[in-house]
Amino acid sequence: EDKYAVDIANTAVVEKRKRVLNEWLAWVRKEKELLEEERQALGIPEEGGEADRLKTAVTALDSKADAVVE
Amino acid sequence: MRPILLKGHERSLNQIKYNRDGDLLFSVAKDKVLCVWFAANGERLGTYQGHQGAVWTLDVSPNTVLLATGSADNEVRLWNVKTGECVKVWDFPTAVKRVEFSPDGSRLLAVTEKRMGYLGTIVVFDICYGDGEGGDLNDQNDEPSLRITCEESKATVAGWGYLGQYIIAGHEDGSVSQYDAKEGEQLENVQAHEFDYQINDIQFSSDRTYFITASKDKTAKILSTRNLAILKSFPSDTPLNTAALTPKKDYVILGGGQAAMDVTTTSARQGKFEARFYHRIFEDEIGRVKGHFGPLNTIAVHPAGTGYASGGEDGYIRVHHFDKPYFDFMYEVEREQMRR
Repeated sequence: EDKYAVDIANTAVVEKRKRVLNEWLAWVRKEKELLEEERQALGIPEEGGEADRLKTAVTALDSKADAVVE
Repeated sequence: MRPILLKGHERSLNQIKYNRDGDLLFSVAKDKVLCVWFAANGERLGTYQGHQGAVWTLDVSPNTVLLATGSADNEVRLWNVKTGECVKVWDFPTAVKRVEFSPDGSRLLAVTEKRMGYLGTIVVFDICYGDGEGGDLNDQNDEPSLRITCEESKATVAGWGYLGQYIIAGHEDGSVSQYDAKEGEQLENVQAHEFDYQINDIQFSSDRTYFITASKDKTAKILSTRNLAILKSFPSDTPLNTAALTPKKDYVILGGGQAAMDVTTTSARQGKFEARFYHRIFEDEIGRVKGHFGPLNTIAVHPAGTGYASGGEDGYIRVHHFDKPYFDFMYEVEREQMRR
């Protein structure tokens, strides 16, 4: 029974983390899109590829996925 | 992760910063001296002398041509990074607590202190880069192109939002404001930290869409540049002086500790001088790095995310290069996300 309770608790933690991670990634993606729109609207050149290379692997994968959709 | 110890300052460090390439590390302290070091091995390249008071703040232009400093002697100075020569001095009625170049390097903001008869201000100067070969750098504007007066609560720190559109300031009363960087008009103000607990540091993500604040209320928070929404909160057990975001990995590094003058016993200070690592997304503390013998006043992360440096009240700078486990660490849910 104790083990069962622990499992439930662990599942809850994992579920929460999944939700938090997805919310964060969605927020970051949306901000990136908005930023890109505003950058183009203002006619500001891209700030070098350098900054982009520094992004985490997770977001890099995401942006690739986006590119395919487009 | 054996740190490199940089001994060049005789007094408490105020701010340290890498240049954009990450090969140089600059530091300012209460001892009036500005030092520049090779970030890789900690060798001191030189010093820039001229300030008559504690130097509170510094920033390097994105192209590493100019260096700006703000000091208790009421001056902002511009330096030629290569030659160490001071190319411009701006005088103010009060001390200067923070300077920062805009993301494109075309403007410089300075936060001035409030004192009897003077309200705190944020001033902006348009910056010129001479002939592009290091000449004519002393050809600068005498007057600021923008002046924001903080009527309510003085600004303690400030920086530039994405595309240089906004100036974001942290205040003495624990609030954060967003100003239009062209007109200087205040667009938003939120009480991000506990009322009357000063904000001591503000650092931006690489694309400047969000930033982290460190406060005396013992917490650090991540806010959205666009609307100042509070996205993340990192509680600790000690007043925080500095907070930094790590590129490459989704962590934050916090530093703080009670200043000697604020405590009566040494035991209350014990164990509070560690750099604390938190997970940026899950907000959990994931590790600590010991070393300093006093509060951490400033933390800077290498622009490529390969290491970080901390400056303490003990007068030392400690430069750390991250080991493999740092990069390998991942939550199971992150791993899963990667696989998808």
